Amino acid sequence: MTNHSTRIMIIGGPDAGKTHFGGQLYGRLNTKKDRYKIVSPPENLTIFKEVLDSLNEGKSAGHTSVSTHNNLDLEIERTAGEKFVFSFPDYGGEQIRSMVGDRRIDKEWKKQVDESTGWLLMVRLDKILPVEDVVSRGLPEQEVLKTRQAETEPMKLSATAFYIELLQILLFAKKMPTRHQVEFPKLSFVISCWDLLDQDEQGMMPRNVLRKRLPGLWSFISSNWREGYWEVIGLSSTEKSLSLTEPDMDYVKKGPESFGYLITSKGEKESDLTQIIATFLEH
Amino acid sequence: MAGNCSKEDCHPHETGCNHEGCDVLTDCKFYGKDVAAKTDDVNKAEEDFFVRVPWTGNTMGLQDLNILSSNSKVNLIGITGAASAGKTTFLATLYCLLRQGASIGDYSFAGSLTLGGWESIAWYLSWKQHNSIQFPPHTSINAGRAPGLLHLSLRNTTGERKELVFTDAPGEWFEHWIANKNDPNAEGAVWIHRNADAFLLFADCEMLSGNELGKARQQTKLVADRLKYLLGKRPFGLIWSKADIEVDELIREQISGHIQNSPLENYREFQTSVREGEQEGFHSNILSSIEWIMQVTGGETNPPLMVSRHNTEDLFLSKRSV
Repeated sequence: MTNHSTRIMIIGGPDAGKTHFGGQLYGRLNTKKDRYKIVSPPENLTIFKEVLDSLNEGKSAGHTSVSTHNNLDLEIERTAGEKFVFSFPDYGGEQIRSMVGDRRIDKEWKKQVDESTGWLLMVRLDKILPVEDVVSRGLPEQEVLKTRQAETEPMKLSATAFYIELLQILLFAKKMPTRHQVEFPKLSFVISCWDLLDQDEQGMMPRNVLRKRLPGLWSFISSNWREGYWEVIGLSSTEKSLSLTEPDMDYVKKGPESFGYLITSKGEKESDLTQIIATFLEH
Repeated sequence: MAGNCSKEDCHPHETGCNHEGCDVLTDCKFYGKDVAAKTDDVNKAEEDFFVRVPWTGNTMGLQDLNILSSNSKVNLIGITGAASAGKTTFLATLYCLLRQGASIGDYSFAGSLTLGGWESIAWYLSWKQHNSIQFPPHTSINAGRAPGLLHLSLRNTTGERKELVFTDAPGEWFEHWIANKNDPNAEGAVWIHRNADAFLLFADCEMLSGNELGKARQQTKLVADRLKYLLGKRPFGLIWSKADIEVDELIREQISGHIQNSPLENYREFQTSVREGEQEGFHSNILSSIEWIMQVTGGETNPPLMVSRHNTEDLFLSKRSV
């Protein structure tokens, strides 16, 4: 089946690993050894240039500037010859924050949202501190409570509420009703920097890691997306932490395309990063 | 007129176009029409085009119910009882439970249009830096005639979705209501009594075991009397809040007996507390009370809540969805 209309939108806050994933994915697609290959190199490679340069020098790439909103369409084909478009947006993750903060979506995003057929939501669970409330930690004794002073710390939205609101806003912008469970757009929740999770979590199924870390968000996704139309995968784009300044010689020698892996929804380790695309094409 | 829109109840710069659902405001037939002089503003709006979401995330008012009630049946649950009986704390604990992945019977958490509202009451029950935590402050009494509304979407394993809306009202409303149904300060309580599909009445175990026993007992009984008037089949749950504090069995019987001195079609009692307790399951009782309400109201319910400008004939409105 030729499907030119498959457009995958990458959604991720600051530091979610979008840039490194983009660079690594492009590298893989371009080496043409993996399952998915690039048809012809795009005319303008600016959005990957910096990250490709850095990775080839064994370094970590810098931060994408907030205001950028470029778009790179990669035409990709599968071994069998099917072609489709992977639309790779390049933007500062702060835009995701302000989408929830300002409760509005600008023209460029609206276009992206409208055209997308699949969403890839990247979240670094290792950076999210667990919520400690009366349910997870209990309450101190009455006497202790009374001695405490009135709280002045301002309210901060929990990660659970933030991502639920983000998905609700995106679904609204796409005018997708949620009265019935959603099949379209398909959702891939990507736990990025998988190698930085706790050791025992790295042995778990990605879906269960999400359930353990953000149970409320897990409830939201699993009850609003129909089974088979959403999944959770683990991703380590660079396989190890790289420094911004000090090159990793192993990287330089073997080349960045020798590093990085993903954990499929079934919990299998897969070094072919292009497989992430498969989740949007198959049930 | 709100902002540049000629429609009084439309707030395009806060929640997007409420009337026509226009993404681009300048396309709207009501937008900027009688402010022709301000052409500069219109041009500006055209340049920075944004899709705004029609909910603010904060506790809702009546007009905000449009987006929900035009889309599906809303179950309104009246949370009633005297001041400081633990009404807001009950709601905050309910949200904390859902946020930690709990489900209500077969139903799990499927979102909310008032996440900010929930988060701000739950914020008090969350541990923060310096290890501090405390109960939510008193829900302030204001001139409003409708209570703050908190929304929950739930979905069961067969994919059926339910919309629940809880009232978060100050206890003083009910105290005024006890004394005089026609008191202007009781209008909010009257609104809740008229519109809610179900009620939870809070009996404060802390007060019932202390010096204010007499007053607390009297208030609980009187609010119950008011609620029972024209109650019909609507479920009425009595919540023994702060149930980790022991209350004399005699007092319990006095209150429980008083409420049941005339037949009630759907009545149950639940013991809840913000503390889970050893075996008591005070947290799971919070979930059970909502599950019970959903079971009872699942059958027969009130006609859909009437919200101004909700035109049930309007096919386009009914298709607008979240």
